[in-house]
Parts: sequence; C-alpha cells; structure tokens
Amino acid sequence: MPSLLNTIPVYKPQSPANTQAPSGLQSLPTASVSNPFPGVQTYSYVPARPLSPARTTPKGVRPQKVSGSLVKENIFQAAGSTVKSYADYAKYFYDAGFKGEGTDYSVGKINDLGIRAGSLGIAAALAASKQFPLAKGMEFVGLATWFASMAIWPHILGAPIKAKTGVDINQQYIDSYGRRKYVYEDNQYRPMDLYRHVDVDGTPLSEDEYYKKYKDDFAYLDAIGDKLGIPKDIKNRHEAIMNKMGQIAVQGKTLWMLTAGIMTPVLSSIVADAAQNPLRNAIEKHRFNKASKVFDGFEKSLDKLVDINAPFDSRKIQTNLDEIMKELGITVSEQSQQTLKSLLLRDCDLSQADFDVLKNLAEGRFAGTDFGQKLRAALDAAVKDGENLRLPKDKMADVLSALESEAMRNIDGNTKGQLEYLLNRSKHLTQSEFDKLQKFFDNELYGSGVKDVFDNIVKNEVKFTEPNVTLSDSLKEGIKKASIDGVRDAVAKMNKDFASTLPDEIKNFAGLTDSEWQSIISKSRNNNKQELDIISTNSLKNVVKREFLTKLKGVKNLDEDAVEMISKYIDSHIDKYMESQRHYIIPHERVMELFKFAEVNKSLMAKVADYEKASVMNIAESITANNWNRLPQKYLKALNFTKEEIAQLGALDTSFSKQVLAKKFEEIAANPHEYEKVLQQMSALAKEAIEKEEKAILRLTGTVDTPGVLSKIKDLMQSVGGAVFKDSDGAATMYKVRIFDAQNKYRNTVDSFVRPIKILDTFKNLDGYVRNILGGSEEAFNNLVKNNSADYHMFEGLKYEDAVKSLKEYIKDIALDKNDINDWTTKFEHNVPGSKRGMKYSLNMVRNIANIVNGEFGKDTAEIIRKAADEAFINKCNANNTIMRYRYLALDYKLARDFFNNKCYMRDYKPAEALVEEICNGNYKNLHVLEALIDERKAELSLSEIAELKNLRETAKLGYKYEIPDKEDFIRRILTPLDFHTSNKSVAEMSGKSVSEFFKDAAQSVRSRSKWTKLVYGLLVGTVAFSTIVIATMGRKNYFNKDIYEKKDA
Amino acid sequence: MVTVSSIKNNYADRSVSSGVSGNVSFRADELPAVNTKPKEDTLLKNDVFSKIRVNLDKAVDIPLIHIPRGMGGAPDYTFFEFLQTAKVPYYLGGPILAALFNAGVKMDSIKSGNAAKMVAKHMALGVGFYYLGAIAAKAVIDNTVKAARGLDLNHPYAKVIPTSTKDTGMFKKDVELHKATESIDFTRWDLMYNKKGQTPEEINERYAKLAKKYGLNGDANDIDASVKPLIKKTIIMARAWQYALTAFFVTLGIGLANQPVWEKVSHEGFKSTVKNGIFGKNLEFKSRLNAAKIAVYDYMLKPFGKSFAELWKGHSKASSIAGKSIIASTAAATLLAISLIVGKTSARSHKIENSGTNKVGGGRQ
Repeated sequence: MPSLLNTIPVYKPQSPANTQAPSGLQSLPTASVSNPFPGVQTYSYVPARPLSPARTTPKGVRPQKVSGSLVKENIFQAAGSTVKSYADYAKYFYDAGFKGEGTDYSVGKINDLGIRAGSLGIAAALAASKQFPLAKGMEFVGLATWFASMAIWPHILGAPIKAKTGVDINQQYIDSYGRRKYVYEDNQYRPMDLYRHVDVDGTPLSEDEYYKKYKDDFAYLDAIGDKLGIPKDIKNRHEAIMNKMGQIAVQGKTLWMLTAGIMTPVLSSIVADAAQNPLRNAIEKHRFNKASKVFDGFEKSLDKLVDINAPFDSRKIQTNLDEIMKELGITVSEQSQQTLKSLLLRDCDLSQADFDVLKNLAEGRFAGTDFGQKLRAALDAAVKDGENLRLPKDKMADVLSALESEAMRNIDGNTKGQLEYLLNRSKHLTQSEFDKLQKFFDNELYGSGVKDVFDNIVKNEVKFTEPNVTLSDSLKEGIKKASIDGVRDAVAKMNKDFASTLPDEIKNFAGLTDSEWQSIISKSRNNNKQELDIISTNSLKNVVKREFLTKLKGVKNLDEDAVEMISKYIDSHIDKYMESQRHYIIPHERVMELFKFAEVNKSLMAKVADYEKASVMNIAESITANNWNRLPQKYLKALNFTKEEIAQLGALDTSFSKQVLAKKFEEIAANPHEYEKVLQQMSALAKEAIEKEEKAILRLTGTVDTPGVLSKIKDLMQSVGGAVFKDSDGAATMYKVRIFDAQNKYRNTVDSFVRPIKILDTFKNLDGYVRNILGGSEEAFNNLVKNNSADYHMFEGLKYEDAVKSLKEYIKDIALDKNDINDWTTKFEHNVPGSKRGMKYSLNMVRNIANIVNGEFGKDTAEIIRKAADEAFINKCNANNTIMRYRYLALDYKLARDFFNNKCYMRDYKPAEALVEEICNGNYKNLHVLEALIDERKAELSLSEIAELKNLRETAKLGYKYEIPDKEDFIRRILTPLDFHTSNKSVAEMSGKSVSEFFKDAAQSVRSRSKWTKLVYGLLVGTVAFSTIVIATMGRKNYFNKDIYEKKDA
Repeated sequence: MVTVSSIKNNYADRSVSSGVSGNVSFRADELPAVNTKPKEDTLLKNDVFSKIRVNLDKAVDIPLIHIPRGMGGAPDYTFFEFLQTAKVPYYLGGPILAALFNAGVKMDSIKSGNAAKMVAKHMALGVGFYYLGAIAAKAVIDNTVKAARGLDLNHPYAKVIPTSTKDTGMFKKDVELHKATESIDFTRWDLMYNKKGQTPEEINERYAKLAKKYGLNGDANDIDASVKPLIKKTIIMARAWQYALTAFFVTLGIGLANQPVWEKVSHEGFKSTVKNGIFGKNLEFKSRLNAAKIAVYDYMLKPFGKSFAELWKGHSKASSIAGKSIIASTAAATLLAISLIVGKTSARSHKIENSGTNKVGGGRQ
C-alpha cells in the first residue's frame, strides 16, 4: 500500500494489531472509537466517513466542553486589550519569522502588527523630512487619527445596527485556546454555544449563575430573536435566530467594507484638522517657554558681564573673551581651533648655523625651562632638507606658545629678538598656505553674519592679509642670481653672431656687487625694517631694476636695443623672483583672539536666532507665523464677509478685491451698531495677537526701564571690540541692525493688524475729514482753492461735490492699497480723480491726508475700542500709526527734500535741538515725545545712555531739574542719534502688509479651506446617508433570505 | 472544512487496492485553464496569463457577486468573500486621503499654489508608492520561495462551492479562486497530488520535485510526507516575512515619493508622452517605441533611481539619518528574511529519518 494514503487527513480507525499508535494519540478521544465498520476490518484502508460537525455525536465520544465565551467590554477596555495583544503578536512574529511555527490565526495577526509598524515608520520618515515641530507632530497626529478612525468606524456603524437589531457586528469571543476572535468573522462558522449561558444584556455568565436566573438556555439569543421579530412558535428557533444574526452581520460587515475606505480618511482628516489648532497653540506655548527659559539663564550671565546693576557711570563691562566665554558657556570647537592652528603655522627651516645657535640655547641657557624643553623637542624632531634643517610645525606651535609665555617675558631683548627672528619664520605663510587660511575663515564664518565684523577688524587692525618680503642676504643673492639668469636668457635669444660681439661685461655678467646692494638698500624706502610690506617691496624692486638699467647703460659698446632687451629680461626675472619671495606674516595670538571673538559673536547671534525662531522670526510655526495664520481669517469672520465676497476677494485680480473691500467697509461704517460690533471684535483679536508678539520682542529690544538682551549683547561686544581690537563699531552695528529688525518686525505686525481697524475708522469719519480739508461749503471750498492754490491747485475748476467725491475716492484708495513707501511717493504725485494735476507740491494737503490714513483713532472709535481692549492698546496703536506716518513722510530724507523743499514738516522729525533746549531748562512738557523717540531709536543707544535717560525721566517725574554737566556732550551722545534724518532708507521701506493684500490672502486661505470642507463633509454626509438607508433595511426578508419558517408541532 | 469530503469525492470511489492500474494510462499532469468550470476542487494553470486572469476574475467578482451577496446577507457568504470585499477600503482609502489633501491646498495664488501642488504631488505619489511597496514586499518573498524551493505561494485553485440555497440566483457563485497554500492549518495538500497518476511516484510527482528543491532525498513513495512539514514551515515564514517586509517597503516607498526629484518630473509631460507619443495618430512604430522608452525611463526609472540617492543624502541631518536608516533597514530586513527562509526551510537543517520502505507511518520525522 502506498504510504501516500497515510498522509491524507482522513478519519481512519486505528488497528492496534497492525500499527503501534504513538503514545500521544492514545489520550485523544478518537483513540477509543470503536470501529463502526467491523466487516471491513481486514482492509488496510477504509474510505473516510465525512465528519459533520456537531450534528451527530460519534458513539462513545463526548464532545469536549466548550470553554470559550463572549467578550463584553466597552470601547476603552477594547482599546486596552488591543494594545496588550500587540505583545502577543510580536511573539507570533518571532515564532513564525524565525522558527517557522504558527497557525493561520497567529500569522494573520502579524499583519496587524506589520501595518502599525509600517505606518509608524512612514510617520517617522515624513516627520524627519519636516523642519518644524508642528509639521513633525502632525505626521503622527495623522497616523493616530488614521488608525483611530479605522478602529472606531466599525463601532460607529455597529451602534445603530445593534440598537435596531440587537446584533453587534463587532462581537468578539475568546475561544478555547484563549484566542480573541470575531463571532461573525466567518459566516460559515456560527459558534452558537457561546450564546448558551449569556445574560439578556450580553454578559456571559457561569453555568451556575445562569441557571439561577434562567430556566432555559439561550436567553440572550431569545431576546435578540424577539427584537428581530423571529416568530416564537417555529421549529429550531435558535438556529433561525442565529441565521438571521448571520445575515445582519454579513450585511453590516459589507456595509463597513464599503464605507471604511471613505470614512477612514474623512474622519481622520476631520479629527486631525481639529487637532491642529490646539496642537499648534500648545507647541507654540511650549517652544516659547522653553526658549524663554534658556534665555533667562543666558541673560543672567549677560547681566553679570555688563554689570547691569551698577550705576551707569561706574559700570565695568567684562572685556576678557575667555571670561565671557566661560560665563556664557560658549566654546569654540576643538577641531576648528586645531585646524586653524595648523593652518597658521608652517615648518621652520633653519640653516645648520642657526640650528646650532638654537641648540646651544636649548641645552644651555634655557635647559630645564618649559621653553627649553619644547625647543629641544622641536630640534630633536628636525628633518634634514637639503642643506637646511626643518622643524615640524606641530612642534613649532608648542615652541612659539612657550616663547609667548609669562616666563619668557623677562629675558633680555637681544636673545628674545634672536629667538623671534629664528623661530617666527614658521609664521610666514606662502600664497597657497595663506589662501587655505582665508578659505578656512570663509567656511567657518559663512552665513553667521559675523564675517563683516571679522573683515573689518582685519582691515583696520589685525593686518595680516598683506604679503611681505624679508630683506636678507639670501634676498641679495637671489636678486643677483635672477639678474644673471636674465642676462643669460637675453643673450640666448640673440642672434649668435651678434651675441659673440657682446662686451665681456655682459658675457660674464656678475650681477650686483655688495656696494651696489648697499646703495640700493639706502635708496629704497625700507625704513630700516627687515620685513618689507607691499609698498617697500615695490620700492625696492623699482630701485633694483633702475640700478641694473644704469649699470647696463654704463657698459661700453652696448647698443641701445641690446640694453633694452637685456634689461627687460632682467626685470622679468626679478619680478618673478620677488613674487616667489612673498610671504604672509601671521600674528598668531591676534588671529587666534580675533577668531575667538568672531566665534563668540557667531554663537551669540545663534542664541538670539534660537529665541527668535520660536517667537518673532519670519519662519513657520513662530509666534509671528501663527498670528499671521490665525488673525486674518478671524478678521474676515468679524467683518461678516459672505462666501461670494470671499470668492471675489480671493480672485487673482487685485483691483476687484479692492472694490469688494471698499464696499464692505462702507457698509459697516454706515451702520453704527454693526460698526461697534465689528470694531470690538477686531480690537480684541488684534490686542491678543499684538501682545503676544510684543512680549517676545521686548525681551530682545528692551525698554528704557529694562534693556533688552540684544542691547546688552551689543554693549558687551562693543566694549570687547574696543578693548581688544580698537574696533567698537563693527560688532555693535551688527547688533544694532538686529535690534532694528526686531523692532520693525513688531511695528509692521502692529501696522498690519491695526490698519484694518484704522481704515474702518477712516471710512467712518471720512465725511468729516474731507469736509475739514475742503471747507464745509461750496463757498468755503472756492475760497480755499482761490487763496491757497499751492495746496489746492489740484481742485481748480472742480465743483465742490465733485471735489468731495474725488478726494474721498482718493483717500479710500490710499487707505486700502499697497502701503510701502514707493507707493506713497507715486500716489502723492498722482492726480486726485477728476483733476488733472498731481499734489506734488501741496505740503499741507499731503500732511492732512497722511493724518487721516495714519493718524490717531477718532474719538468715538477710540471709545468703542476701549470697551473691547484697553487704553494701553489704543495708545500703542496710535503711537505705531504715528511712527509709520513718520516713516512714510519724514524719514526718507530724499522724499522730504523733494516734497517739501527741505522745510520742516513736523517739528518732531528733527527733534533734537528743540527738545534738548526745553529739557535742559527743566521744561519736561515734551518728555513723552523724547521717550517715544528714544523707544523708536533705542537700538542706537548704549546701555549707559539708556540708563542716563532713565535717570532724566525719574528726575523729571519728581519735578526736579536734571543737571546736565555738559549740554553739548549730552546732545551729541544721546540726542543726535535720535535725529530722524539719520534714518536709513531700508527702515522706511519696511512696512506691514497692505489692507487689500491682507484680506486677499486671508480670503484665499478661507477658500481653499472651504473647498476642503465641502469635499470632506460631502463625503461624510453622503456616506452617513447611505449607511442609514442600508441599516434601515437590514435583516429584512430579501432575495437571499426568504425567511420561511416551519411552525412548531402543536 | 470540506477537505475530507472532497478527498472522498476524489478517491473513495476508486479502487486503490494496488498501486498500478492497467486501464488508465498515465499522462503528464496538465492543469486546467482558469475559465474552465471544474466539478471538483482543482489546481489551475499557473502561468503569468492565468494569474492575471485569476486576479481579473477575482476583481470583477467583488462588485458583481460579493458585494451584492454581502449587502443581501447571503447565508452562504464565506470568509473568502469578506476578504475580497476588504480590498475595497484598502484601495479606496489612500486615493481619498490624497484627494482630501489636494482639496485643502491653496491654489488661488500662483506661487503658493505651485508649492502646495508639489506637496499634493508627493502625497499622491506616496499613496501610489505605498501600494507598490506592499506589492514589492510580497513579490520579494514569493520570488525567493519560488526560486529557492520551487514552491509557488500563489498557485491558484478553483474551489467548487456547492450552493446550498436555491435562492442565490443571479449572484450564484460556483467557484471561488483560492490559492493552494493560502491556509497554514488547512493547506490543500490533496490538490498537489497528481490525480491522474498510477504509481506512487507519479502521484507524488509534484512533491518529489519540491523535495528535490528542498534538498530532500527520500523514498519516492513517501516523499510527500517528508516534504510537507517543510512546505508548511515555508508558508509560515514566508507569510510572516511578507507582513514584516511590507512595513519596511511601504516606509521606503513613502520616503522615495517624498523626494524633491519628483517635483521636476512633469505630470503633463508624461501624460503627453503617453498620449501623443505612444498612442498618437500616424506615428511610426519606431517613434512609438522611443516614446515608450522615454515614458518609462525618463519619467519613471530615472527619477526613481535619483529619489534613492536623495533619500540617502537627505536635506537635513535628521532626514539624512532617517533616509539612510530607511534604506539600510529595508535592505537588511530583506536580506534577513531571504536568508532565514532559505536557510531554515532547507532539508539540510532538519533531521529527517528515512523510512526506506513503504512502512505504514513511515516518513514521519
């Protein structure tokens, strides 16, 4: 018999006579089955009898008692068991993947684990590619919401199905092996036994408990059957119920599969979207707090270094770089330092004689000292190179630093000079070595903002970028040789016949004599220096060339052409030789110090940047960026824009959006109730956004009372620059610009956020404003035009109504449109609509209009804002508006000159003289003006100056006269920098977003969002509707389920 | 659980008293094509076209048979049908997510619209690469097993469904297209015998072939019994590693889709190349071929290769570490999977007792 048959899984009676059954089998119930076919015992193979499950019980075999039970847990418990089961799944994977052991169940579970792990991997991969924490975080939020939706949707779907039919399509059970499975996973397998001892609410009970409560089995099943409307008097009712439950489960699960593909992304999208804002806020807060905390510690150290608590005239600012680095915890990377050191040095070539001199010193006079030991080590490491001996540069570094040490300060000048002469030659870099050094600095300081400071100091003080030539005997010999070579080359180029006729002096040219060399030295401008700078080198070169020319001319019987030719060759050889002798002398300690200074500044800039990134930088997820994300859309809402209006606003054509905006503002301005409501909403929003940013910025820029971090850094680095490098401006300028930037940033934010409010105010009060400008009546208007033609010339020939209308339009246009300085310039040159002439020379007209657009809030408007925000907010806005007005009109010197013929437009745009007179006289009436000016220009003041002004203010408050010892000095030091004329143009050009642009961008965001909303909620509603219909018809009699029941026999 | 009954159908009525029968001449075991409607469970032809046909038939059945039957709650609805229906959300979810993302993109201004379009493009590519990654993970293991052990994990068989209710009418299904090795617990060993065989060698022919690949030298009569445990082990390991590698490959897929090189690949250009270049009117075959080459190489393979380089390099420290570890770990996991499957399923790493004779109960290890 082929053994093939043994392997077919059939039920086969075991014959103890034929085969020895493995001992394991004997305990199985089948082992004791009596043979139901005694007649065919003699055959070795008996056809298998189909095993039908649970319908007929084989004789003598009792079914094993079921130990599985239904699972009843709520959604949280379910989530808990899911998490727990992942540990099991990991083990399943180990068994299957590494040992090859498993079942369909266990291997199937690996898939669940794999999907989770893969998604986590994806989220991590995507997060790593994102640069900002929110973007990173959202990847994981997306992942979490995706799985949450995937897990939760069948439960959402299951709830109404269960409510309607009593069937829970997510019902789980634990089988006899303790494995968790779904009851309706396989429709062909209906584990009815599980329902035998279950309470009517679905709680599985023990047999005893069950029978205490119920007489018959399947109470739960009966309850479900009742709910399903299965007739009570039919045969096999429980089976019928089970079948109906199966039908509903299949229907429910199919519905689940049809909807899951839509609902998983939709729900995930909705939840992730909802999570985004809270997450953004939380991250923003966390980042800012973290950055602030870091800044706290940093500022404390900074305070110590600038001696902030001492009175301003006795402050001692730390200027020792090492101390500063220690205090601030700044380190320069060891690697960079080593690289720099090795770039700064080269091997030291010594002649045998010089070598011996050094050897004597090392073994004699300096024996035992640190310097002596280092020198000996260097001499011992010397390598022979031709006639010279070469000391390696890494040893030379030690020798040189020992030479600079304290112990060597007191040795006699002669010896020291000799040592320096011999040893410092290792500081001479060739051109290519010098290029490498420069490249190093370029790389090290690239993009740090410090390069300019560095270059400046190099240019002015630590000069090491100029090539030198050493005046020495070897230079003399070199020049001599170059001249001889030059003559030889020239002769070689000549016609041979002609060459043979040359005088002997040329044929045997011997170069320079020592006396000639001496005369060259005395003629050239070398200032008795051994190292010649570029000017001295050139001078020497020229003298040498001239000397040779004279010499050639003195040779008898040499014609002029030959002289010219030979001298040309000599010149070119000398040029080449001198070029080759060029080297750069690097003052080690200074360069190292400068490098340290640059690194410290770099690190300080980076520290500030870290803080700015979390707060006010124009970079994703900073406070500023988040403000810009949120506020414009909220404004749109506050202004009650309709969908159509938003669509028009967001259109690509700006002119259209301006019209929509103007209409909206007019409508609101015309309705006092609406105006109040809108204004209050917007003010509250603006206040919140501005305060957040202000808090962050003030930390950097500071106030008169509490100087900012940047001011402190500026002072510190200014002092260090001055003390160490005689350059206090470079670093200070760098930080000044930084302070200005921060300040402008703030101004622009306030400007952008407040401008829409101010524009509303302008629209509201426009009639009054225009009436003021044009006179209240036709008559007054005509008089103005007639008598004031300089200002009113553009209205000439216009009727009063037309003039009013066109001026209004003009102001609206200015108010809404782009507001950078260039636009203003051209705007003012433009015509008022309807008139033919621009307003270029109308000083007062321009001033009036500027006041309307960029002036203070009207009284009634201020009253409304006060209710929603506070007085401080109004003051802040008004101050900002005024400053912006200055920027537009007065700050730009050229503009002022062109427009106003150099006349002073407002007294306070060149405030120094007038103010200081008053203040010196103890008249503090305009002190607040001074304060505002100081606040605006504080970047240019030092901490001492700010402190001095603080003193002045305190004195003024008490009503005393502030004693200014030197008025001139006071003006020069403090008030001159405040002169607005000194402002640079770039400052004036920076301004916030124009109103129309502001709302256009907001509208575009809203539109893209509404597109998303439409799709997401469209899908959501559609799917829910579809599901509702399907659920409503679930469990009904249909094509597949005819519901034919047989009545129970009576 | 129809194994036993179907075996009965196959064998019980035939006398198996001796191994050789003079009446039925032995023919090479030719498997039926996919579209034949067999009367009993039958292993089907296994060439590429058959497999495509199998997948096509299965896909068509989802909306036409499984969904209507599921929506109606057919009493004889099977687990297989449920699994088929589960492909709907799998293939629907990704594109819908991408569509939702695309809808949230700010398209009004040209500048921001372009940037956002790029992000949306990465997203759509990512969805596509996700599915490709999953397919690739499966293919790696399938091909490894096929090459190393000669076992085709996707060998289709037609499972005859006795439709018990008469009410399934137009949605009646007579045949489900399963895979012979889809179940670990209920592998269709029976189908892998050559039913037309007369001698044990002939009947066992398929097992003998596999055994050779497994490095198993056994008696041809009971070689099946010896190789079955190894096959089972192979199925378990292959399935486990397919799931595990999917995690790595989909991550790799998303990582690749996220690389800047795809931003330079113009979707319009590709569409035009296909539409006007390959399927354009009045073109020479040569230029069509050339266009196809461009479409495949310039628009797909080249940027695909470049995306690997970009993923490896990264654009920041974090992304470079992430990129390197994604590529390296995927490669490492793949190698580990292959080496484990090849190593552990070989007969050489198992102790096999050779029964030698046709003893009952022989071949057990």
